[in-house]
Amino acid sequence: VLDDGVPIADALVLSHEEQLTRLAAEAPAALETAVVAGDPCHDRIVASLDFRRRYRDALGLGNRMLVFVSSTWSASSLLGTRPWLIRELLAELPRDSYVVATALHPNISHAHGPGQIRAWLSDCLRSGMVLLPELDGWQAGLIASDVVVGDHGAVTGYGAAIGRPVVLGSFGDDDLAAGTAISALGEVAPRLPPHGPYEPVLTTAMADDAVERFSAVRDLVTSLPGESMRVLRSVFARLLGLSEPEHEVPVETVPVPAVAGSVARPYADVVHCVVSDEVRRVRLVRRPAEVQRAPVGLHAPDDTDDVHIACSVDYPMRSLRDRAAVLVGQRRDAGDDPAGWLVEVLRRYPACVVAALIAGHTMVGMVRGYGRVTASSADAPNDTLPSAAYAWWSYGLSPGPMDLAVGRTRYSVSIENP
Amino acid sequence: VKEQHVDVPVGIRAKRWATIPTERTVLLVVHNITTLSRMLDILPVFDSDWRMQLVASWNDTDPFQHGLHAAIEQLGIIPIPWEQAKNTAFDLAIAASNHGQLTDITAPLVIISHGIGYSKYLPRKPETGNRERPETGRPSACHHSGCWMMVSRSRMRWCCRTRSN
Repeated sequence: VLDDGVPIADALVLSHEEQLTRLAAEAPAALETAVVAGDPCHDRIVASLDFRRRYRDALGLGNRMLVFVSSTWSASSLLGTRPWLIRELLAELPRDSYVVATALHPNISHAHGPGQIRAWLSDCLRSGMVLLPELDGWQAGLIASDVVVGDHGAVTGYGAAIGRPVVLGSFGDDDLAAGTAISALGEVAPRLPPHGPYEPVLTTAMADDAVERFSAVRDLVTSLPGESMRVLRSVFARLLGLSEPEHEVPVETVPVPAVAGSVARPYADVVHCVVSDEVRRVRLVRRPAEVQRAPVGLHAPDDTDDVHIACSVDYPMRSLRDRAAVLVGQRRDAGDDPAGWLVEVLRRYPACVVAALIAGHTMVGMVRGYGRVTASSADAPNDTLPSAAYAWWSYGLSPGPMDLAVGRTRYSVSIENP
Repeated sequence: VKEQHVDVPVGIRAKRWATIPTERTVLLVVHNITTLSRMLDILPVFDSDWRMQLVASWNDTDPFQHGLHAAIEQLGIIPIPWEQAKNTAFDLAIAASNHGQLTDITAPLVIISHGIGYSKYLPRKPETGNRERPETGRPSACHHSGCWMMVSRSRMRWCCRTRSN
């Protein structure tokens, strides 16, 4: 701020009057250059809040909750202190009820390499984690989010400032100045416990009045809400010796992120089925298999549940394909001989009970020792149909219509044995 | 770091190659992707203003250089080498951090924050040790430059060291 006691800037732009006090205390010589101009980034996010539905659609959320994981950089950051946290969240949170999206500070990917980061997170990416574009993806992610798991970084702070429930996974107290928006965040935000289960903590946070809880953060982010671009232009014009243009300064909404969410990707799930045979209802709870800590699929939590692995035939891990009771291909994989393809999958994978091909709203399958089965639903995600057929068969239900409950949604499915 | 000097839009021959006769040249000092991100937020203040020509430059003082050139190219702002930026008089320079030899630039300088205000102290270089720890724990003036942002809780920060080198 000062160079041999002389301010280096002709205008030191502050976002909040609070910073004037700190500047006066620590570098009074720079005070005459200080200009309070609010926060252009926060203004832009606030201007975009009305379009939350767009950002949620772009992330393919449906009615799933978005858990936004935010990490600043350095060893004291969330990723630096708990690199396994994203994996733990993915392992615990049912994927039909939650989406985990991650935004990492650019100093992480540009210190280690963006490809290196994707490699480290490859199990998480295969498990459905959305990695937000680093330059302009996090703003949309925050707006779309239902809860933020973060740290002392600015992104977490901006989330609190727009009233998102924030739970701190780490907080690098040593890095921070007192009296700031971020220090206020540290004072009021709940902490994530050192180990799971995390869902109850997130649920509690989501039930909280986050706007109220984080009002101090919001009030410290800017002392000129909505005015930043206008003030900045006038500061620049003064230094440039120019009149200001007559037109209004545009405040752009944040871009809608391009995230590859709709492309069918290989998946491997641990699936809990709960079947109520008297009302013909099957509930599926699916969690990504690769990130589970212990071998899975051997024991059901209680005797009303059944647990199996459902896995794409192109999931890149043989151990999961080998243990899967349900193996799923895309209909086009089978060409003009779906029956031959299904038989071949059952032959190659001895643990497989249901081999299935999915396309559009339908599934054709083969049950080991039973024969062909088809399932269709106007609205259920087609990758739920093979496990629905598995549950139908293993509980000995008769063909016909069936209720399928997945996440927060119920669907109607029709199962036949042609 | 970009090496090749540009002939346009800055330099003594720039007028020869220019189509639009701009009145002011603004240098964006973009030392890393994080500061670039904040620049993206504020650039619309120059929208539809044909009096302005923006260029970007950076030097090698920032540890997080990777991907910067590509990101600035993606933005479509002409990057110029730091050596050329140092030898050019700009009408305004804008930086979204207070480090990286900003005093080498000849222009009225505006510094904006790249996070939420100014709240974070950078990690100490490990080899710097704790020898400058103030007795009281209160922030004190940096002996290298008196930089307000750079000093507190015994932390010597690399931005300060870089500037004094």
